[in-house]
Amino acid sequence: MSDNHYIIKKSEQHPHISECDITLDGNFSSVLVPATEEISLTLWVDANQEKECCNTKDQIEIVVEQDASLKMVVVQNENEQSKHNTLFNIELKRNASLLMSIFTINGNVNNKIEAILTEEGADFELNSLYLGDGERIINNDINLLHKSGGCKSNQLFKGILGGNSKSSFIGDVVVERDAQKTEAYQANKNLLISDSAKAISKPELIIYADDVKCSHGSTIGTLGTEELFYMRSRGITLKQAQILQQQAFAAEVLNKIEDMDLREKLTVMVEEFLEK
Amino acid sequence: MDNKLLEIKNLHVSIDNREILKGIDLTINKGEVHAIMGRNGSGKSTLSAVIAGNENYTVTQGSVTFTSPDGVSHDLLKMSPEERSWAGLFLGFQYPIEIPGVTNVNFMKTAVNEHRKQRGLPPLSAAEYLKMMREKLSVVQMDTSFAQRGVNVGFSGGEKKRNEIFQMAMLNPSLAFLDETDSGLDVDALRIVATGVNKLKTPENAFVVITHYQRLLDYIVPDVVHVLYKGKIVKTGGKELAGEIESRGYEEFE
Ligand SMILES: Nc1ncnc2c1ncn2[C@@H]1O[C@H](COP(=O)(O)OP(=O)(O)OP(=O)(O)O)[C@@H](O)[C@H]1O
Ligand SMILES: [Mg+2]
Repeated sequence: MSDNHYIIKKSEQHPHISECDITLDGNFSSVLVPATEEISLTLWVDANQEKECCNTKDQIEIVVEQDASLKMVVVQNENEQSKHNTLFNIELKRNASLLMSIFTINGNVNNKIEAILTEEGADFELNSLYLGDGERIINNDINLLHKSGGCKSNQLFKGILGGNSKSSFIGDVVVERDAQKTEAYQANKNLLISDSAKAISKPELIIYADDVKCSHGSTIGTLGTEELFYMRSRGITLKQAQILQQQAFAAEVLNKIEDMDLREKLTVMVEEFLEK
Repeated sequence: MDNKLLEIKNLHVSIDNREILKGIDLTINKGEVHAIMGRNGSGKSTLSAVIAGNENYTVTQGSVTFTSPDGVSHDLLKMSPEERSWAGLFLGFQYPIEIPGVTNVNFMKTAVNEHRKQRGLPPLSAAEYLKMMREKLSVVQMDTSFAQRGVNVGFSGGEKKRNEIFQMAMLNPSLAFLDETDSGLDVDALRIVATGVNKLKTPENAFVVITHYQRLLDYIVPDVVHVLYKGKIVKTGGKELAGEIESRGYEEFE
């Protein structure tokens, strides 16, 4: 095993940094975004897509320095037997911003996200879409610490779960006593599309400061029968009506990807999953 | 020649073991406009929902036969909602459903292309669809900005009703049930909707308009008016019946 260290800078060769794609392969990786840089990158976790089975552990450390910004899309797409554990260690410094989107398309996944907003003015937006089918298990475990005041965090986790798949979302947001003027939002929404799929959802806010704006919520629902009947009464097949509703559910997360080519590519991947 | 489009015989319908329709007989022929009037809760929407295939209702007795434009007779109660639509049936909902995240254009394009597929036709190209959509939107004087919005999401009451007529124009059904399409419309919208319906009327199709008001029937003149009372059709007459009901109410049926 070797370590991968990515100190990502805007360079002559990479004016559009989305070229800097990284493939996780079971090694320790660290991504450092130096002060004032603005970086976009895509992390493809699909090395084990073709193999029969695989058990991979990754640790990735992300530091966004002062006034720097990172836009990062993580695509987890292995095979239905693969197990992938990833620990994300994230630190945001003064006025740093991180927009992170995690798409779990295939594979059994454990994402553990430990994030600290260490200095004032940091802005962390974390969105995720996870798709479950068969016997797959998808866990997201988030620990977010607002250490300094004036920071903002916004989490949106959405899951579409079919077959016997299971998901869990455990999200703790801690706002420390000195972290006044914090804004912290957290939402987890699950759509169960089979009778035997299961979702566990435990968003939690622990607030020690008094001048904050925070909210959290979670929903576990099924496809709307009224909507389905309305669509079918227009001649749309049940299957197609279900797909339209699921696409609409997924679009909220997909639409947060700013790179249009990547958004299109992921939209197609999601559609392929829904049409299976 | 047989002109029958729909034949309902002794239809009994329950929901949660409560009988709502208690033996409906109704025959609708090509080229006809029927109006159904009746007190709140008399079962008008239940009848149209059952005809469209809403599975919340249980048919306990009776039969419904529908003849599609190709002359084939269908046992309607055995068909799924989408099959009924393909066969030429349409329901304008009293309360159109909002579908957040699904755009009007995506919704109707999927519906139109599914209808085409059933007839062995290829899907419409984007340009062909756009042309058709513009034409049909103009029937109800809606502008194209509606196309990109979520289905009925944030539409005003009147806009929702116009959207129902737009969808009907896109699908060109041979039999349409319009459930209180006039409720909540201002005078201009009422005229627009009624003119739209009249434009779509041909000797080959038929309409069933459910309404509380004579007003709509001044524009869409019915051949037959039925009074539904506590789950039964208690009176059938000509268009003058609508006026009588409006002035006298339903007390005589008590
Ligand atoms: N899903 C349902 N669950 C329980 N009761 C229902 C349901 N749908 C209809 N009903 C009942 O059936 C009866 C008939 O309702 P329906 O909606 O058909 O009346 P309507 O004639 O359309 O009335 P309105 O003029 O108010 O639209 C009512 O008493 C109503 O409460
Ligand atoms: Mg009604």
